[in-house]
Amino acid sequence: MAVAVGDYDAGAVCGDFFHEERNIKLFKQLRVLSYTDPAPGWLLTLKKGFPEKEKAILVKALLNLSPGNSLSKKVLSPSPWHGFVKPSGDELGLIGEKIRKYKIPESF
Amino acid sequence: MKKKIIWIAFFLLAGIRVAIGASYTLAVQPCWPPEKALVMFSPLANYLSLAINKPFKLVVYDNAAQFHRDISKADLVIQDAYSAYRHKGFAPFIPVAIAINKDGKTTDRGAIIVRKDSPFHKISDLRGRRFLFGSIHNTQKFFCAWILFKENGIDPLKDLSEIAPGGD
Repeated sequence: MAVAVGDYDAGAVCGDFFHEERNIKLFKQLRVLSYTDPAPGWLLTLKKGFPEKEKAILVKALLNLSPGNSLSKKVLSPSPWHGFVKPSGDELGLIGEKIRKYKIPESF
Repeated sequence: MKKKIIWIAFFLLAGIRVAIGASYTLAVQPCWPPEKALVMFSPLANYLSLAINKPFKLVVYDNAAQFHRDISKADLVIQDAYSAYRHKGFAPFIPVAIAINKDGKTTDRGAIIVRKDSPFHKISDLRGRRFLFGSIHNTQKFFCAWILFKENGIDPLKDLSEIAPGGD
């Protein structure tokens, strides 16, 4: 919105910005200058120290929501996702590497 | 009779307090309007509550600062990878699942937008211009955008005339 009204010359949005219904009014005023490279997406993260027994049940329940099955469709249909898979374990490491390489500040 | 009703009410309220105390919290990083996030993730919170036989309270936010302040109180958090990395120091969470998006991928990308009538056509055209990032904890609207600038020879701190973080 701030870009559309001219407060800023350009701005960053999520890649699916132009697929979201709520942004329809903005579509006519904006265009994409460039897309970024992909990065690891949305994680479900569990607090360290969460009871082990319940953690196992929770993880199993999440991974049962695999793409395409009827349970996933029921639970995730209002969300932007099709299902969940086990993380590779490299997601945060990859982010850390890039933070160092590109000197991304924690705040500015 | 009145006394009886008061005692019943007391035990009922006490029971509710116990139930609330025993619940877990599922927090969602702000990236959608709160009312939309509630609709999007309520079925997931209900599903997890049934699986674990304990209620998951869904908490959504309308701004990143509030999420940042509260994240350490949550038990399960839906957050992007950059947020998880930045919060790991004071709110240690372990990734247990990664979402598959509508393209069938576990990765997402951001986009840089300009006005349709803007004279800018490539990233290097933005040198000396005003730029609005997303929240400083957002993968696509901050982390990815920052990298894109750096890869195009632009240091956002030095080469843009004004930068600001957005609210989500």
